[in-house]
Amino acid sequence: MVVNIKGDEPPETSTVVNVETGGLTRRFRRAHAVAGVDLRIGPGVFGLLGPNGAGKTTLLRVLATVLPPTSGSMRLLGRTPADQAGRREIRRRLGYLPQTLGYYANFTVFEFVEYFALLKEVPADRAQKAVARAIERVRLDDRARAKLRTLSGGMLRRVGIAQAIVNDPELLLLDEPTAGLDPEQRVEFRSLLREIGERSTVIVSTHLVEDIGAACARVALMLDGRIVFEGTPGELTSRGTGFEIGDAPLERGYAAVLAKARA
Amino acid sequence: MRGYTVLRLLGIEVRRNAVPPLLPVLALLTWMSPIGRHLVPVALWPDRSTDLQSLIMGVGPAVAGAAAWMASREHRRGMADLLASTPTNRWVRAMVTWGATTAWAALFYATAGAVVFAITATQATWGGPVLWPVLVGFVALVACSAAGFAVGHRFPSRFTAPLAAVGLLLVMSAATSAAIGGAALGLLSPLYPSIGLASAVFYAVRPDLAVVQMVCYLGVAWIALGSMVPFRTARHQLRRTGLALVAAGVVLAGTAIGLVATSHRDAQGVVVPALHDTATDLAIPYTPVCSRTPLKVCVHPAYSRELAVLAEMINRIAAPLAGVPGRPARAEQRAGGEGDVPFHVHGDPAVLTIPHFIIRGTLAPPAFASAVETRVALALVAATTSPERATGAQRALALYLLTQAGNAPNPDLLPVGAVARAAAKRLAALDPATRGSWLHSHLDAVRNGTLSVKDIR
Repeated sequence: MVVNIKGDEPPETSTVVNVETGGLTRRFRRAHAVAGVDLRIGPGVFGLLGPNGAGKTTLLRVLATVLPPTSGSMRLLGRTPADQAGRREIRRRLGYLPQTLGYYANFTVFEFVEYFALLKEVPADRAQKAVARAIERVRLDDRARAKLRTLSGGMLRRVGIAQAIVNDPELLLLDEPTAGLDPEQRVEFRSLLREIGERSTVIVSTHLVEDIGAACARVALMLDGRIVFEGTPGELTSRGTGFEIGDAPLERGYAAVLAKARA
Repeated sequence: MRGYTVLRLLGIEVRRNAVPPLLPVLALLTWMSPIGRHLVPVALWPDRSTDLQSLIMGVGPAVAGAAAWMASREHRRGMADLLASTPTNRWVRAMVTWGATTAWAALFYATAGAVVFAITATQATWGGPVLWPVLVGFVALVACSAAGFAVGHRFPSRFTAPLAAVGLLLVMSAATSAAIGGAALGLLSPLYPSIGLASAVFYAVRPDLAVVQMVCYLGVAWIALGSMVPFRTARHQLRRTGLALVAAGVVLAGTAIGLVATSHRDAQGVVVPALHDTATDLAIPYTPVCSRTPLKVCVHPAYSRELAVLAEMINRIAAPLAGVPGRPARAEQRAGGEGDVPFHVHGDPAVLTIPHFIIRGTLAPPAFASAVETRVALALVAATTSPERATGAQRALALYLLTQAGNAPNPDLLPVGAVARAAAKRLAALDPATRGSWLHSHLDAVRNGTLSVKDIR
């Protein structure tokens, strides 16, 4: 099976589809936060772009099985989350970083990540090593014993990423993961994303198009709960040819697609 | 979830629980509870054990508040989404958090119990720890923790914890007031002593009420824990567990309510007919310890440390009555509270009866002087110990006895008017031989209430 082959980028061939949605909607009263999203995503880093209120966070929450969809179909990691057993199996293999990371201020970094490792059913005898590795991957090993209340915003974001990857997830959902990270950390983080994306599906929601350009093999652009563009970063860049809004080629492509969709 | 994983989670929750920062507050509440006032002799094991149960008055609401705080933590800290994305269901997470909270509360209670029992062991002269009230307190504490947690789980807000604590205190206090007022259901309040104290040390411990209270609190705890299961979304097995817990809790609480509704009270405490063992109605044989004073004073061996003080006090007050007919030759302690067995002189030869309960609470000065001495003096000269019913002559004579012994009467127990005060002064002014003669010939008339205060020369 060939997944989402569009444009002139080298095709990604994979027989694995980790995220598959059909006509997915999520309504809050009368507002359609997600309004009929069709996705088929295999391993690799998938970027989710869109203006504020486009529905990115709601879509990620639905994919994280936190919110049930109002309608439509959804299969994650080959299982449907509609039934208890499927949902549990998906969650065991899922990593999720919400847009706003809540945390227990009196936990240490290690305790917080270990807490999630255990909740994600990482076997207790392997949990300690998995936690240490996750903390090391986000470059927080020197602060492992620090209380979360003592950390900066960027460090807390990295703690959030560590808890998301502690179970070596096959599906990683990251909502604004680079918010609060300094440029050096962002570069390291993109490298981490690419590494994880070699064997897992990583969906990154972000406003920072440079993250998409640097780390994502594919990208979707959401507006008003719908996917208005899906393709490679190169394809998105090409949509901006001749468009004047935006400082970088990818930004121009982003702005051009939005302008066209709004028109 | 495997056992070792649960233990690891529990370890984290224990380390990062809300109860440890509260421990100084709990210690302060403990000190302010009856325990803080009662850690002086007389040391009676039933009283000390009941004091441990009464710890629940301060510690119970505090633990309920801490549990509500922990239960609302996910919501307050914005963790709901993140935690919902994990395979471990919310109820299991809640149980681990509750377990850690309750473990801290239990540890505090056990420590307080160990300290109180260790101190009591160095003071008490008879008997051993009575575990029923301690167990009642422990189960009540678990129930407080479960109820607080369930409230915090259901209404997660920063205001829930203080409201849960205050609400629980009000409910317990209201139930206790109802019990004191005679309402049977009020006996289920954990603040109501689970064993009868008025006859403690003299009779076997009657556990009827303790059993009913524990059954009730277990029911409350199970209902609280079961009600936290997310019935709409939980797996079938978890739903069944939740339903079973709630159902069993309702049965237990209902059974306790049914049992307590059939109860009645007597001098030894509460009788629950369905649970009652008549063996607990029997007096415990003991050999009293007696003083070698002119007026022999005999007490239960549990009071032996107080014997010297008590004998000296009674003899000092009764000294002017030496050789007077009707003057008791002996003072004996009897089971029962002051309402059931008041200080009084009876029999031939006359015996001064001392209720044990009043001594327990008042031997420590200055309450000793203001309460016990006044009652002893009144009992020596009046057939009644009710100050309202004592005649002017009786009050005057009691005032004289107290004054010559160097004590001031308690105005609440012995209100004395100007006429009686003058009569007491007249008696005191007499030479000992004349006074002795007058007492010899008039004490009976004073006791019978046939002599007017003006007739005291």
